[in-house]
Amino acid sequence: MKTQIPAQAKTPLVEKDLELNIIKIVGVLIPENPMLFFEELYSFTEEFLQKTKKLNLHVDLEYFNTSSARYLYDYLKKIIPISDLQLTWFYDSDDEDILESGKEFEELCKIKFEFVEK
Amino acid sequence: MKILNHEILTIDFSSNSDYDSFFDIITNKINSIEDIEKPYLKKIIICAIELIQNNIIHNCKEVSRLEIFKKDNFIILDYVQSTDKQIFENLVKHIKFVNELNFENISLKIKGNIENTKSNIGSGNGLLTCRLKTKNFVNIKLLEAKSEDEYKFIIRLKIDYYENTNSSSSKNTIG
Repeated sequence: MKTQIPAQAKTPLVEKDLELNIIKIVGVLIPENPMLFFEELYSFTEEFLQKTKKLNLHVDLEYFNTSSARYLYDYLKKIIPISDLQLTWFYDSDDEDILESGKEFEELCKIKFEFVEK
Repeated sequence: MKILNHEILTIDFSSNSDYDSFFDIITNKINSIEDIEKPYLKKIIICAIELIQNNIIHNCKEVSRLEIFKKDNFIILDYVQSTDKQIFENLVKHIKFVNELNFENISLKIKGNIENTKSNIGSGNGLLTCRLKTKNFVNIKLLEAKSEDEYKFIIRLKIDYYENTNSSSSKNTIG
């Protein structure tokens, strides 16, 4: 079982912690074609969910592009019905863009996010 | 890739490897600028990513150039690129549509595209996001039409830059 998806130049590090039921997505998410990354992320998450349905998803992105926003939404819409999801959205205190994006995703996904200032 | 120190940053793209490394180059350079506050730097990088990737998706055959500089109370991003007549004309129409939306409708359109776009690449939100982040119009100007296959043009974004205020003004012209 994979414990992480390593970060690349345009994709973030993804790590899991099965003791705390956490998947963390950390870094930048700016590929021109996000499909490959999200296919891998979804497989990684499905594998995680075979162990436990409780998923604490930590999203800690510095940048993401508009192509990835759509894939991130599709990913969340797929995992919401198959998991007991708690999503925590991290942002820097002076990063209103990332906070604003998190609020938009919260509205789109129709679930409550926890927002944590770093 | 050639980097010229013109005001803030100039990058010439001439190959796919240039596109692969642009993010590191832009962030390293932009984040080293001490006299521009982080919220402005974020907007510059967000817009630069969208401009560059818009070009990669629609046309990465030709050399292109991104210039970022300060002028008066603006930070300006100029992206010079080439494409064919059809793509250029579609881009002009799309930018006209983007500029005619108010910010509330841009936000709604972006959310709608996130929910509904089926294309594998792109969401249609790149230039909408540029307009929303800059709070100014997206400008496009034809520079040269050598043939139907080679339309050289510039996209200009302006970010209002004031040290202690967020007020904005819009001018729908290049220059």
